[in-house]
Amino acid sequence: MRLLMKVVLAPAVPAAPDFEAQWRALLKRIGALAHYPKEQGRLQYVLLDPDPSQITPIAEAVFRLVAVKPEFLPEIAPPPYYGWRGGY
Amino acid sequence: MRRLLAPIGAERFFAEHWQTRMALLPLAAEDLAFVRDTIGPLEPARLAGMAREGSQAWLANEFVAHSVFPIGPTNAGQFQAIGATLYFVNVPLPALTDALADFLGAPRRKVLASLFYTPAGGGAVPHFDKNENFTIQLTGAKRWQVGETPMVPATPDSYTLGSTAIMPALAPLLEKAQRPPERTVDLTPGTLLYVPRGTVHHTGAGEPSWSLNLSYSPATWLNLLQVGLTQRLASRVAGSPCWRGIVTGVGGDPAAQKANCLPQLIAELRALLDDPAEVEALTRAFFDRPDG
Repeated sequence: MRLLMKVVLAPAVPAAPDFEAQWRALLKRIGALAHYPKEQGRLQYVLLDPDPSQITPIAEAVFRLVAVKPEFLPEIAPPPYYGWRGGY
Repeated sequence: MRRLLAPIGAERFFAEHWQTRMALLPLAAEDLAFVRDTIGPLEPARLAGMAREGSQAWLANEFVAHSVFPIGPTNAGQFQAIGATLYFVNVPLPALTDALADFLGAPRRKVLASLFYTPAGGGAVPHFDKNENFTIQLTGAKRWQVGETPMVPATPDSYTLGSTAIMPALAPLLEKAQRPPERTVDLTPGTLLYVPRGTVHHTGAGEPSWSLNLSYSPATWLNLLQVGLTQRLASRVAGSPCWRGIVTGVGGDPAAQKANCLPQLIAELRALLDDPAEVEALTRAFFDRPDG
């Protein structure tokens, strides 16, 4: 099931020199499909497609790296709008 | 329902508890058996397939911040296995919901049955609901801390204490509200707990448990009048077509003021509200609505 993992970091965390490499390694390890950093990296949204049994292990891996509990949100895709032809 | 309320009596329930004070009642063994038989097997996949308004898994633990997952028949069991609370919303159980609605004299569509599976260590933080709630413990045990009386009587909305997300209609009521003293209540299979809307409660389960929630999502008298009058007046053959007209002539040019039919409509409304047959029809129009 596709989920968005939301991680709110303390400002100093993404500013640390080795953070970027460690974060990317973690994303690879947990099988991230995409990630969307916001607000200079303080807010991280990560798209995942885990088996439910992997949710807590993924959260634990994040927690051990950045000491923050992630929140999981359902991925919401807009419904198709068949009348749309690319303009208004 | 009268039978379920027998330990205190239906009259006393309405006089002392309805919308004002929690009530805790033991059910007779045969009544619990009837409820259990009506629900059928407490299997997550089956219940997820039945829930008309979807099912959710709530997960919070030492590594996961409180998260809500929409679930279905294929993965409900997996979420149960990882320690999530499961919530099956609006499971059709008309033998229970219609009986409660008919007892209360409430529209049947407004009374819904939902089921909760709570894992050991699971529970809910202090909050109050906008619904009148009747909870029947089916299996396991759950400890509730319940306010003796509503913190916000007749609340227009639900609220989690400490949350900054407050609906505008609730904010002024919450400002003046005091949190009433709470009572600890241990629910075991066969206990029924009535919690009026606006009453703060929080729960914890020492062991896995299932409970049934029958909730009356309130239809207010104001709703009845709004909906009933709208349906009656918009569909009245004998009534003035002016009800469907557009507002014109409130002030404005003297010529436009001739199009103001409010005085005529108010007179028509007075006549309608003075006629008991019309008021009965207005109430029926509200009760017979298929939804909303």
